[in-house]
This record gives sequence, C-alpha cells and structure tokens, in this order.
Amino acid sequence: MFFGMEQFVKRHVFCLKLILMKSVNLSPRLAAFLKKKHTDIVGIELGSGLSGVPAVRLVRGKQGIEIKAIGILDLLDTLPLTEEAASPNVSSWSLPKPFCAPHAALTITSKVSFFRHTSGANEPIPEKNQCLYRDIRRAFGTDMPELVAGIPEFQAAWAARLFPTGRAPTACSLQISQLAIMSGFNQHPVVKKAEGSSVALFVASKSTTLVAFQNRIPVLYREFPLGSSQIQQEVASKMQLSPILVQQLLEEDAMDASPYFEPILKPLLRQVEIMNDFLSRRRNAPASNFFISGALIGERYWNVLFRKMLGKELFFCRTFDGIPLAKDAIVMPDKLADVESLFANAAGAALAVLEES
Amino acid sequence: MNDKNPLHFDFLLDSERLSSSQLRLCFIVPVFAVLCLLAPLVVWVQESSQANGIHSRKQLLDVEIASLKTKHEHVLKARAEEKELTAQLQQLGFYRTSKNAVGATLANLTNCVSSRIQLTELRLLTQTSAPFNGPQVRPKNALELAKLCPTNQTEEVTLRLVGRSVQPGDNPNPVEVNRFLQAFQTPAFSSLVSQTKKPKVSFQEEASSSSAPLGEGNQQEFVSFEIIYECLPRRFQ
Repeated sequence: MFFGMEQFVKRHVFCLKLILMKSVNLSPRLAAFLKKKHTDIVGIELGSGLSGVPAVRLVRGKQGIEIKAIGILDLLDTLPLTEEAASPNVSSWSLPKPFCAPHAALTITSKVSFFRHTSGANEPIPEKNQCLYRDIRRAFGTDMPELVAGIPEFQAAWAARLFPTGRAPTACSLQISQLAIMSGFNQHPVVKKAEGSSVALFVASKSTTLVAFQNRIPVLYREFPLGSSQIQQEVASKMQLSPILVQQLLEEDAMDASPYFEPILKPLLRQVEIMNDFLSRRRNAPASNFFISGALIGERYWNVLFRKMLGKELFFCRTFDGIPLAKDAIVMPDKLADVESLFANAAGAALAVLEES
Repeated sequence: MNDKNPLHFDFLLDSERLSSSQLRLCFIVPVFAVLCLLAPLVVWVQESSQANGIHSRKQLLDVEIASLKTKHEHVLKARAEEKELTAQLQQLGFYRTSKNAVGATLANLTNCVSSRIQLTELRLLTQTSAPFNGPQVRPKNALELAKLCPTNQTEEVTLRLVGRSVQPGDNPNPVEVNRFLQAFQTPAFSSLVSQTKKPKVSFQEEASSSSAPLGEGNQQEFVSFEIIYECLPRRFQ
C-alpha cells in the first residue's frame, strides 16, 4: 500500500511538472506513449510542380487499406526555396471535406532537400553551410554505407505550419519524396512477395531514381538525370514530331519506336546493369527481380530493351496496385489509371505512416 | 528508428505534432492532473466538515443531556416512588385477599357451648407477625419493606381455645369437652378449622372443686382444657 502511495505521489509530481514546465507541449516520451495508431491518413505532396496539390486519403479498414479520396487539390503550392520566402505568417490550408482525415502525411519534393549515401558516420553535410537543416542518418548494417536525408529547417517549419491545431488534418509525418515513393513501392503486393535482391527504377519527370534492395532494405541508391519528360522530348526531336503527338502515337501503338528509345534509355539501363553487378560482387546477391514505376513513356520499349540488355524481365508496378477504392470513394481525376503516377509520392507518404501503425 | 518501415524518415518535430481535436491533450492532461490533486482535497474538506458537524452536534447533545439530567433524576425518583407504592398496594391486596372471614363461623359457638363449659380464651394465632409492628420503624423503601415482609404465599393459622368445664366426679371422661370437640367436626366449622387434622387437646384438673352447682351428694370437678386447632391457611395471592 505504501508503494502504491509512492507511485501516486510520483505521478502527481509528474503531472505538476507538466503543468508548471510543459504546459504547451507534452514530453516526447509521453507523446510517443499517447500516440494513436493511425488508420485514416491523407498523403499530401508539397512542391510537386503541378498546378495543384496531389492528395490521397487512405483508410485502413477490415479489408485492408482502401482509397477514400484522391485528387489534385486547388491549393496554392508555393514551396519556399529560401529562408526569406518562408514567411512565419503563412496562411494555413483548409482541405475539402473528403480529404479531411485526422492526420496528414506530408512529403516534400524540393531541390534543396537531399538523400544520399555517406562515406562515414562523421561525414559533414555541405548543405548545412548554406542554412539550418533537419537531417536524419540511418545505417542498415555495419557493412553498408549510411544513408542521410535532409530538409531545410525553413521548409519543414513552413510545411508544419500549413495545418494548425484544432482542425483536421494536422501533420503527423514529414518526409522527402525520394523516400516516400520508396515506402509506397515497398508496400506493393508483388514487391512484398518478392524474395532476394531487387533493383527498382522510379521514373520521375526530370530524373530516375535507381535503388538496389536486399531484403527490402536499400543498399545502393542512385539518381540518374533522365526523366519521362526528357525521354519524351528526345524521342520527339528524333522523330521530328511534337511531344504530344509522340505520346499519342506511342499510346496507339501505331509504329515501332524502339530505334528512337534505345539510344536514350541505354545509359539508364547501363546503370541498372552496374547496380546488378554491385549486388552480385559486393553483396553476393544478384538481383532476381527488376521493378519499374512512375510516369512511363513507351512502356513496351522499356521491356524490350531491358530484356535485350540484361536478359531479364522488367515488372511494372502501378501506384495503386492492391489498393482498392472504398465504396464511397471520391476520385477527382477522370482517368485515374493515366495519372496515378502523379500521386505516387502522396500515396507513398500515407502508406509509410499506415504501415508503421 | 522504425522496425516496420525503415524508409520512413520523419522530419516532423514532436512540437509540431498537433492534435486535430478542439480539446488539446496538452490542455486536458494538466487539467486532469489538477483535478486529481483537487479531488482528495475536496474529499478531505467534505470529510472534515462532516466531522465538524458531528462534533458540534455532539456538543449540542451534551448540553441537552446536562439540561435533562435533573428531569431524569426526578423521573427516576418518581418511578422508584411509583414502584414502592405499587408494591405497597400489591401487599395490601394480598392481605385483603388473604383475609379469612371467621366472624359468622365463630358465632356458631354459642350453639355448641353448653352451660357446663366456660371459654376463657379464644385466640386466632398467625404464624408470623407484621415486621414493623412494635418498636421497629417501617422502612420507607418498598424494596426494604419487601425484604421484611413474609415471603411465603401461605400462612399457618391456629385457633386456640382455652376454657374450663364442670365434670361429674364419677365419670373420668370429659364429656362436655368431647361434645364441644364433636361440634367442631360439623360442617358449620368446616370453613374455619381443618377437618382432616386432629386438634391438640390437653386437660388439667383444677385443684379446688365445688359441689354447689350440681347439688348435694354429687361430687363435681373443674377441668381446664386447651384445644389448639389448625385452621385453613391464609393465602397471599
């Protein structure tokens, strides 16, 4: 009984401490203890470069994860690139009702954020000389180079201020898009079942990210400056047609465009070859699976060239494979299948949080 | 570090994790803590006020008891007096019910006493006498009185008859006395003496004798006698 009394007094002292010293914010340990498991998350991509803000609301129901709402929201996405542009008096965002989940998982696509391998634990981060950064280092093994990701403090603070307290949603996670898309990829049903090592290509509009995974852990990360828009431009210039017309021709499958694609994709696929070689030599685990996702132009030419160069099959991963629409889902794009790669980052951010719960 | 999703690099600070609820946890928890502190205090205040109330009520009751003490003593005294009087009345009732009417029965004696018998003493004797007769002071307390009074429910009564009779000189038996005794066996005296128990009879010749009442030539003697009869008992019920 005396012990119980002591505990009671200690708890009251703790509560008093909270009242006197931490009346504004709870201590991190208590916050982590009180943290709820998320089942309803809206993933939002900031700085996507689109005319709106891609947002995907995912809910975890009895049947698994479902899409509750998806669309490009009509919000002013002015991601600040300098400290001066990030005004502390930024106006908060108010989402349409279908997207008002209790919490939001934010992902930032920014030129000033970074994600790369480091040569050692004490390697300095040169970006920190420019401005204050929030950085996270993570090593997945002693024999693997450490991964470091960073985001400018002003951008992170700006993003956090967009969703104030007392109104849904509020931010529960802030990621960078390179990692958000990898988180989404890791939740793909085929990737989940795949065993051994694999190489994944995430094709964005201006660059392609190549990641070598060993047991779903990234062991080698590279970015190649060739994106879907550049591929489209190159093919159009070689064919002496407008990029829009080229896209229509490729969709209709009216001609064989492989001679145009081969010189453009060859350097990129050469990088895949190098990564496979890295897995074989350094990790003693040659890639058994090759995945590709993102905004692809001329899908079949990728596969033909890949088979020709590496002698392997390339598996195309759609963003929302294995994630069905909920019964009352709000889908704002007319043809979701054509534009689903635009939501890859937002969906990846939401999935990262949902899978964590 | 997250075990489930190692690729979740979360840059959000804990201070930036806000609640979407209108009621914020950082507000609720301190309020709850204050309430937890106040609750025992309130209970303590309530208990102490109750204790104070009980104490003041006790004081009031003490004062009331003190004021009622003289009245209580008076009541006790009156009750004792009432008890004593009741005991006295009961005792009187007992005596009233124990009274045996012997006047009418003894009046029959005139019919059975011949001219040759002279009763010099007739006395009804009780076994005990009243305790406060004589010099003893009657106690005032009923209990004390009850101790002194006889506690038996019945009391033996004897009838003592003393007299003399004239007896002819040639007859040794006291004829007159026997006749007198036989008269007592008749139903006229059944309400006075016990018919089953024999009386104690004693005779004594008197030294001087005269012949005058019976005439010349007839020798006659005076015999004094004493008869003790056991009467019906007195019942104090």
